[in-house]
Amino acid sequence: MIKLESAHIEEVRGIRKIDIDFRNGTTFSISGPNGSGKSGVIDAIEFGLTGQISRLTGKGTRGLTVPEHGPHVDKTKFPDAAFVELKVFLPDIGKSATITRKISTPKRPKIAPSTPDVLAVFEEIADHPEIALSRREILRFILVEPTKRSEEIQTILKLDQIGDTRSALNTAQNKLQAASQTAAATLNSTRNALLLHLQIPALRADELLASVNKRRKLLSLAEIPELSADTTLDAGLSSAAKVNDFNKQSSLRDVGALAKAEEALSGLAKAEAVAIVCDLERLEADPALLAALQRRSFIEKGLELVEGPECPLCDHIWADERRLRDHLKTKLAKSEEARKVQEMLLKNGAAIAREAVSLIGLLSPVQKIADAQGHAGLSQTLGEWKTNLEAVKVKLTTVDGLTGLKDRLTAGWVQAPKPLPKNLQGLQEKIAALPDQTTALDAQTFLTTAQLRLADYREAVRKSKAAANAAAAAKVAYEIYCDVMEEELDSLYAEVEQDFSTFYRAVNEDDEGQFTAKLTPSAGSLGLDVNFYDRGLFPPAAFHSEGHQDGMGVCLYLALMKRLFGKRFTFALLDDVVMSVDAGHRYQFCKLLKTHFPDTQFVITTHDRLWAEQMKSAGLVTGKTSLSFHSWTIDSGPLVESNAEIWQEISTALGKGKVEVAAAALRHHLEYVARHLADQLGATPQFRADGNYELGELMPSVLKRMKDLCAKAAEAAQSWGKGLEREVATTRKTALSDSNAAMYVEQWAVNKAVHYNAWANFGKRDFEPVVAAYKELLACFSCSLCDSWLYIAPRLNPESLRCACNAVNLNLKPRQK
Amino acid sequence: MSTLQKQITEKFLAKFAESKGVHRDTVDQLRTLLANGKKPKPDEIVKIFQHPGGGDIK
Repeated sequence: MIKLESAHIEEVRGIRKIDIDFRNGTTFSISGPNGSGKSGVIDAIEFGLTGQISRLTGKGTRGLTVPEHGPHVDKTKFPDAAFVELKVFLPDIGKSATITRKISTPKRPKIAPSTPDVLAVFEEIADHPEIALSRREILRFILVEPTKRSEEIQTILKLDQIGDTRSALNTAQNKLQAASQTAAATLNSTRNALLLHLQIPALRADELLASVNKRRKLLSLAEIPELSADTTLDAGLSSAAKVNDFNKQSSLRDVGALAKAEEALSGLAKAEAVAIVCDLERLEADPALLAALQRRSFIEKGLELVEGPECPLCDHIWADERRLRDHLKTKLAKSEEARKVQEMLLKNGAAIAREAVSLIGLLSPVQKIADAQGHAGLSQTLGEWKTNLEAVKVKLTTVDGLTGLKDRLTAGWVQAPKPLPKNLQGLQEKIAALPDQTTALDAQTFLTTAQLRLADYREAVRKSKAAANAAAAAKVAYEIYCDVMEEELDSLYAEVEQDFSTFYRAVNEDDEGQFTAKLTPSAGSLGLDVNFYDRGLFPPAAFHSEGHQDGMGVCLYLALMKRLFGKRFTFALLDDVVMSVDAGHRYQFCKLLKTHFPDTQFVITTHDRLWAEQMKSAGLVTGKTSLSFHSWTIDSGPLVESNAEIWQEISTALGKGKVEVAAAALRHHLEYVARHLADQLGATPQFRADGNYELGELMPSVLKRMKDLCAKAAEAAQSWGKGLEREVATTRKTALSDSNAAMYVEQWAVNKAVHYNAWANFGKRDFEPVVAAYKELLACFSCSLCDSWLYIAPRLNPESLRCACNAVNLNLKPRQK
Repeated sequence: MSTLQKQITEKFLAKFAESKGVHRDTVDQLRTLLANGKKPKPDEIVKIFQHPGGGDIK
């Protein structure tokens, strides 16, 4: 994983241009009111690392895409201008690297150095968008039904990939099982052909040898004492003798067997055919079920072909491959009834296919005999029928194939050629009319045919055994994979359950120190129950408050990430995730992050100022590792509070003739400063219950308060006889009064018609003096050494006016008379 | 490949290799297939098991 050192973001989402120094990968907070651009920073960092923006994907984001909606709204036609450059440290390999990703080419980031180890780290993180967590997302772990929670947790843990492997092993074992059944049917067919020829009831070596040796004896050939794998039944016959394998009696039996089978053809696998037709008719009567089934095979095929974010079925490009596959899997899951129908159709199809194999086994020798006896018409008919049955056999293995066979299955799937009995009878009569073969020729052709059929049987045995072994091995593999998967998941859920409980207890130790949770995995779902004040286990939403549920979501997320990455969990983006957690628990939450995740860099956003301050007081972040936005404009993007560069930014804007940009920046800076100083100095503007003070309300009261404080400091210094301090206080008060800007501010107080919005209409030369005046005015409120804003201490009945470095420390308490 | 997936794959292959009658080639080919991190295709697995190394018939 990574640690983020710095980010340069341009024209991404609500951001125009911003540089953030993450101070060598330490935990960092970004605060600001809603709409101030915090989430834009999270989006940009997530995009830089993964090429994705979670907020533009998932539920309720239909029609939103990174290429179209990733750039700043004014740059949608110029996505090339929108990019993120991140400097990161890669702890696993001890290297620093830079990744630059443009919205126009999200899949092709520039990475430096582009060494294989560095590229591998970025590839890994690009595959883990769950490093970014928003409040919208944490609820998906808690307030969802068990099946959905299981899906969400499976997604975050990448269990879908494990499921894919399991599914592929299952499909493979099913295919091998079907192939094994076909091979067994072929074996049965060749065995029957051999038995028929040898005229023995069972394929036992002694019976086979008795039949064969009887003929060998007639030919004065040595008897075969034992049947082994390389025994040749016609061994000793000349090559010329082996050319003729026509045996009259055997041929009569072959033709007779087919004729007999023909009599029973109409009933062959009839029950299975009827069942298939019933299922097909049910599908026809239920268009929704049919559509689900058709889609099912279509989606199954598509799922198999997924390679990347482009859908192989419709060419739609998804945010990433995972989302595309989740989408297809959800569609599959919805068609459970269709799956059952599909299973029965294929099972019955396989039964008919086995009968087809047996029938083909009977046809082959008769076709050969017909050919040898000059029955070209019958030979051709049988050949065509055989080809036809082979084609049917293939169609019986798919739902589409079965659908196409419906009429045939209704009318009788065998479809024997019409004149078959008559032709077979003709062939039989012709063979019977042939002069009887001499005893020697009969014995000779008997042995030749026996050897051919034994060879076919041995080959079928070999193939059948291989197929059975392959099917058995695949079955074992599938079962072992399922066992291992279950074992690992059980252990994972046990660890997650324990960590989740520990983390939640750490956050809520004051009121839920005995908290426990129970994760209950079962087929396709993951139940979650939590203890409520020792009254029992209940679903999280049953009794716990919204804030507690938020806390549970974050704790479960942290437990999952810990399990997913282990010690390599070094980075996470938490976007406003604990906004409902009350103040006391937030402090504990900070403690949790510090103690349980000391090596993880969290970038945390919050719209709550108090929460931002608590992170500092809890020691999770410092002034240097936190950033505050006070507002946002479409032209400027987020406006950073206490921006040391503000005067430079205004000067640059004026240099480019952009008075409106400079005016907006100055106004927003004053809005922040006025609010901040009103708080720090204890100014008393007219109270507003909604707290939405206008700049025109705050700034005059701040100015008045500062003048009063300076006057008070001067009086106090006078009472103590401290001339130097008196002079300092008086000088500051005089500077305030002399400031031109102070005159504008005082006008706001007496004349509300005078408004700073008019600045935007100023010319550059008109506005430059305004800027200079405010710079001079604001300098009166800060320390020239440490640049910090002055504040009163204590807040109630203040005794001093001071700065952060104490270079300014004006006593406000006069000497008691 | 996630840590969990890697763990499951390694344990699976070790246990499968210990199974009676399983050919070493089959295990090696499965390892290669599963190690590339891509979704395995059923037909690729079928081929591995149908390979002569996949059975014990000589």
